[in-house]
Amino acid sequence: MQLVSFRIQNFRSIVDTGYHALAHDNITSLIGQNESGKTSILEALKAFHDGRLIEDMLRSDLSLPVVSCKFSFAFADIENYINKRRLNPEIRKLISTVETVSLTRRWIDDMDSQMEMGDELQEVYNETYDQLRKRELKVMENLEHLNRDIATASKKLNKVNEEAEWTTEKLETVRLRMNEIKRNIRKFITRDRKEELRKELELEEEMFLKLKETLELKLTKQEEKRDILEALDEKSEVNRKLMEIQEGIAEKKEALVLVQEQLRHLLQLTGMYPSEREQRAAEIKEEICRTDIERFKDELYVLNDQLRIQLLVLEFVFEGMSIENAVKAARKEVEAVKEFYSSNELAEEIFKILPDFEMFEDFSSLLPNRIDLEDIVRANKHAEGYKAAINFLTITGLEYSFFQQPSSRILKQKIENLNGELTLNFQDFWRQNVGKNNKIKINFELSHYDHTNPEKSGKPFIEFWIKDEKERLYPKQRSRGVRWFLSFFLELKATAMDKSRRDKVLLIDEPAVSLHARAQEDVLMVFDDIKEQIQIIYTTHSPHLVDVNKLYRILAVQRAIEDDMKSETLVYSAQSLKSATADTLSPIYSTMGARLSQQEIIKSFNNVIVKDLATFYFLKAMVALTGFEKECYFLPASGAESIPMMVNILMGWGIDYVILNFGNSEERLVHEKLMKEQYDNKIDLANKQMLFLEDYPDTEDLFSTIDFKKYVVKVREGITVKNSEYLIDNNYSRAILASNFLQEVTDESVSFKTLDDETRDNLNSFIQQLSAILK
Amino acid sequence: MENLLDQRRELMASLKYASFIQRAVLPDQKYMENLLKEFFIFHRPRDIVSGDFYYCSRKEDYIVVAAGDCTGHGVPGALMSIMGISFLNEILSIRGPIRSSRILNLLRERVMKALHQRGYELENKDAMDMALCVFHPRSGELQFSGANNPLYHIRNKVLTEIKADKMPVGIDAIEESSFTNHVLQLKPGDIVYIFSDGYPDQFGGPENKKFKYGPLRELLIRISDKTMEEQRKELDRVMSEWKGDEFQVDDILIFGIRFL
Repeated sequence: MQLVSFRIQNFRSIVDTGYHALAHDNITSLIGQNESGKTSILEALKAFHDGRLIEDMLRSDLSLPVVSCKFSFAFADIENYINKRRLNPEIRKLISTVETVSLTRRWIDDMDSQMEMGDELQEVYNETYDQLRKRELKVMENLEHLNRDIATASKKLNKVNEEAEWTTEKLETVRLRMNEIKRNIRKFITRDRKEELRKELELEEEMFLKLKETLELKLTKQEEKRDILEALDEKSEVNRKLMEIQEGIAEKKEALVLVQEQLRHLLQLTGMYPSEREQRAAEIKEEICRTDIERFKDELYVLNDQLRIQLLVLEFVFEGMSIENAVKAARKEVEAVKEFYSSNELAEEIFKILPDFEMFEDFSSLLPNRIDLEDIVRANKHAEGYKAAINFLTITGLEYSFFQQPSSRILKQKIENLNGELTLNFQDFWRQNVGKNNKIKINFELSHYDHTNPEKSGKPFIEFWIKDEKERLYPKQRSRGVRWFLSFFLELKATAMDKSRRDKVLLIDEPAVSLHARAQEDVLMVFDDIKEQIQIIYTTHSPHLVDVNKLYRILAVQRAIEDDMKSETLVYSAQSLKSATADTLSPIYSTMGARLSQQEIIKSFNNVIVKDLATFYFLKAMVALTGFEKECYFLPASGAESIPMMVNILMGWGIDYVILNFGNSEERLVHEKLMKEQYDNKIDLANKQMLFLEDYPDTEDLFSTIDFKKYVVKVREGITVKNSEYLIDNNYSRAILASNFLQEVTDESVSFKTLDDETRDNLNSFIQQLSAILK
Repeated sequence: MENLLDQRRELMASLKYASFIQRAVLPDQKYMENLLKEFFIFHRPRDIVSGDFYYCSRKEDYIVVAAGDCTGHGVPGALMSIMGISFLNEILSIRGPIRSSRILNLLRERVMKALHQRGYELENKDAMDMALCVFHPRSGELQFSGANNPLYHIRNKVLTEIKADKMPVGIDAIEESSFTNHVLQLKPGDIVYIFSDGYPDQFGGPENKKFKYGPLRELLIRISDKTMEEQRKELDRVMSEWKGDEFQVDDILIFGIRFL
């Protein structure tokens, strides 16, 4: 897999770089002024790979970074690696049709990020996600209705209860009154009074019956309302569970944030503790925090699953399913969804086969004088020279376990037995002498701190020596240049020895800053030598680390507002270098000399690069003949093979250009090369800058044979081959013939009218194509 | 004497075999029927082999037909005609625009190169006259270029002559210039005739004069409403009548095509 392009958003000074393609030949250089954001690009790529973000990588508005990388791949690469059964058929179909696949690392907060599939596949996932989201929203909507219904039903029940209570009370009052009347009837014996009381009793009895009836009605209603409420309550129970899970998730998230906060605090203090003991204690706390974070994340994962199930249960219950069946169906559905890779899971799987991104940094990558054995055993990446030391040990074939030997004496003996020496031969890459025949030896020994270092007294460390035929010196006693080159060499060797099948992307910040100009060019040579095995992206200010013949390797980085270090970082690809400022492009200018755009031969636009002087003369004459109205400036290269260099020069100077190639084999090759290198085989892009007249082997073939004989070679003989072939077969000087022809056109001895139909048609067609590509 | 007879027999056998080869390089009758539908070829060589030849081929959406007349007749003419057919085949295999003038231009280059003609005085001056058409059936467009030989076009008994450029396919006294590319829009039923000068130049009749172009035109107008086969028979009959017992002075070729 090859990294083909990247896009960085919200990373330090970068707002959004947009996708930028890397050079197809595996070497990409980021050029730009200090503080332009070059290193940020490397760090963002590294962060894409290891997911680690440090606070200063965040933008001031605290928007979270998103880094996407696009990789070219063979379908088999992915299919052979992942579990095919877990690949959604739609995703599988899509993967099999694309040539690149992009992965995005999105930070959820400054401590946590997740990988997801890029735009090519994300759409399918988004669609599924949208559907789920819609269903969830529907459930939430139904829940709202349910709550409303419950509230209404409760209210109604209360009302009925109150009414029933009131009726009961009333009934009781009537009953008491009835009893009293009955008693009075028995008490008063006068007929009239009795009659009066009886009538009163009748009325009360009537009332009693009515109230009894009303009460029975109320009680029935009460029963109904209770039933409704009970039914609603069943659903409400599911809802309560859902809410419990939601609360659980919120709690876990809160706890996670707290631990992350704690870890953040600990990380800020790293390296600032007064004693090693405190540092160690902090590291243990750090480890505990990390474990907690992982645990919380796992728990959150489980809770989210439960939440999903509960939401589905509700959905099914609302659809009329019984709770028991709904639970079964929901579990089944969640399991079925989990059967296929989610976007994150697939991204995590593919991530495992992506190239390894390694950052070659001065601090940890330069070979130190010594390194504590403890740092090696504990893999303390913060230790000075850790990376270089590990590289060295990898090359010598020593594993970590070798140093886990508890007895220092035995270990020392083992090292002595190994002779503790590594010979490196730089002669293929390094033109400066560092030792006899460019060979140096690196020794390593195991020693122990003595009383002069009380804190570490008695602790073992590995000491390195660089030895040539003259002397034996500590690495730091050698020049920084030699040390850099040596460490870089170690890194390359160690990377090459890495047995994992993963490809490598080496990120190098300002390589060889301390090297002599010629040595810097050696570094470029090394890059070229290893580019098949390792993809390299480096930042530089140095003109010696820019190959002017390969400007397609360049990405220019600068601030949106020059000199304003608060403005955002912009990235320009090789094709748009003309938009970059002169300061940004200074390494290119330094390599090329004066600024070409300030002279009169080449204009800022409509420059047409052509193969050679003869072509230049012919075309100038043809343009004059046709009365072409646009201004164009033909720039002759010194042969087809020089066209790419001309392209690089003009590109480097930010000058607009068009490349005109004819169909002969040399120019065809150049056309294909440029098509691939400059335009990444994107025909639309290439067609804006390249005019390829493949039907005409050369300029002179635009003439009919008759006109060619009459006005160019001035012979009367049968010509049965292409005009260009005729010139070669008969050893004519194209340049002289073309120059003479131009002279005749200038003198008006030849005019467009005197040419025959065939020539006129050819010239008109050519001019039309040229006109379309020029401004 | 016996020797001379033997030699003659041998020569005749050789010529007959040569004529067999020449016929073999001419387009196949069925192939032409397939392409042209209605046409006739009236070809009467003066000798066993002929300096006149006809050509018919398809290139992309176009049909190319030609009637050629090589300088001389008999064996030298036949050799030239075979060369002409081969070159035409070669030219039609080259990529490029299909134009009648371009075909004649390229043919001239090949003839000049083959015969090493550079405009010097004592060099070989052989050449061929030719009427060449490029027909595009879909649009009915007909391109015509003539090297000394014209084209007759008859529509509703009205004959139009498309004149040829006054130069041969081969070296000429004046410097080569491009042949003219005439373009005609044909209608169904239109007939075009291309031919060598053999028919009009044939001596005969009561005063033993050339047949000439005027009578040929009249004859063609007169027979233009007949079927192509009837036209061929009529041309044959008229010529036989005209020639009578006179000696045939040159190869005769008339190629008529009715466009549908």
